Amino acid sequence: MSEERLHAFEARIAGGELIEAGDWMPDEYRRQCLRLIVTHANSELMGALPEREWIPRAPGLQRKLSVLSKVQDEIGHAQMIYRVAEDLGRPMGVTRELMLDELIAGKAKFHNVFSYPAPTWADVGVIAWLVDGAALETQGALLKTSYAPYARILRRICAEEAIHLKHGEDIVLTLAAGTRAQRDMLQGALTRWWQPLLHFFGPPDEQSPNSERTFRWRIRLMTNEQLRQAFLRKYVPKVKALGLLIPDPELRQDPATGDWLYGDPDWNEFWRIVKGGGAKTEDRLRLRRMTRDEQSWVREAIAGPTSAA
Amino acid sequence: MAAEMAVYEVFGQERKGDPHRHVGSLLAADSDMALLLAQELFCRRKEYVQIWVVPRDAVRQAPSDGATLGPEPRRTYRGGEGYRQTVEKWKRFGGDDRADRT
Repeated sequence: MSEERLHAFEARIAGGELIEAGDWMPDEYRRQCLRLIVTHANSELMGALPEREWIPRAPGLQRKLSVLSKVQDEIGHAQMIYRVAEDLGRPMGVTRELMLDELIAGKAKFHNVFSYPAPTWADVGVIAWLVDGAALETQGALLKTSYAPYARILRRICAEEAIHLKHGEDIVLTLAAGTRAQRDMLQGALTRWWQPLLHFFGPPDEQSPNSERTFRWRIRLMTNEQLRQAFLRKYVPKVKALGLLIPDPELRQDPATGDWLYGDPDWNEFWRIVKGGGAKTEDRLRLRRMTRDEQSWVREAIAGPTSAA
Repeated sequence: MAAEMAVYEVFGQERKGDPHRHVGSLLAADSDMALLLAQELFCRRKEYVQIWVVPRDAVRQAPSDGATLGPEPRRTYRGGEGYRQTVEKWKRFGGDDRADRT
């Protein structure tokens, strides 16, 4: 019986059908989708923090408004994606409370890039241009995921991320056309972010924990390396056009395939970061814990009269 | 322990006269809060001229195996495709593009 259901499910996927929250799905499909979606939600929430630090320090009112609006978007994305995760996780007892509890306890994953400091204004530009550019590659490839509620909300999110990218591009272009000090600041930020950007897409396919089923079930459609190459093809020429130096002496394009060959970006460092060892991981989780505690009275007040238990 | 909030489905109308389309869902304690949060979440860029929030519990779904609902396709008299022969029949009377010629 359960074998039959699995075959019927796989036939639906193979026929290009999309899966809705109320449809029957194998537990493993639910688990894999949930892991992907919760990591994305956590990343939106944590991703707002490095830029939030720059709201009071942004140069000028226009830049301040742009950063403020980007931070608001990222928090909004987290809200929408947690909602999708709640519906998917309900049969497994996964609630928003639980997801947030696990995040602030340091037990949940979020993207490596949000564990690094953003020490200069150029970091804000590089994050919004290249980190959001990298995220757009990943999320753009997920628009065709077989889990329909996630695909629907991604359409809205990708449209907003594309605006963030423009905002970052504008900061970077301004600095690149600026004074020597501004160009140096930009180069410094790029040098800091290049390795985390390569890490962003995850380890090479042969070391990736993604199972063959992730792709057979069309939860994901592109591998880590395919996404990284799509990013490099798009952005390496742009970064070079700005006269910036990419901190990888081995970086070169394979004339036959168009792929960019890069030096070993130290995958041990990647694993250290995703396991919670980033320079800012603990700081930012502490901030999350603090806001969650301090604002608990708001959640209680809006949820209405509660039992003392 | 916070009380459980309810799920509200959000529908947005992009332009006057358009149908409302489902845009997402959110958690809220009541419909006033749902409306407020829906505007915060889905209307930051002037996407809609009007939005509805509906408690998810109020939405009923027809049982379906994924195939199109409705009568079997042989009942062509319910759709325009059942009357394509009118083009042929008009030819006896000089074609059906008469309105265009006046």
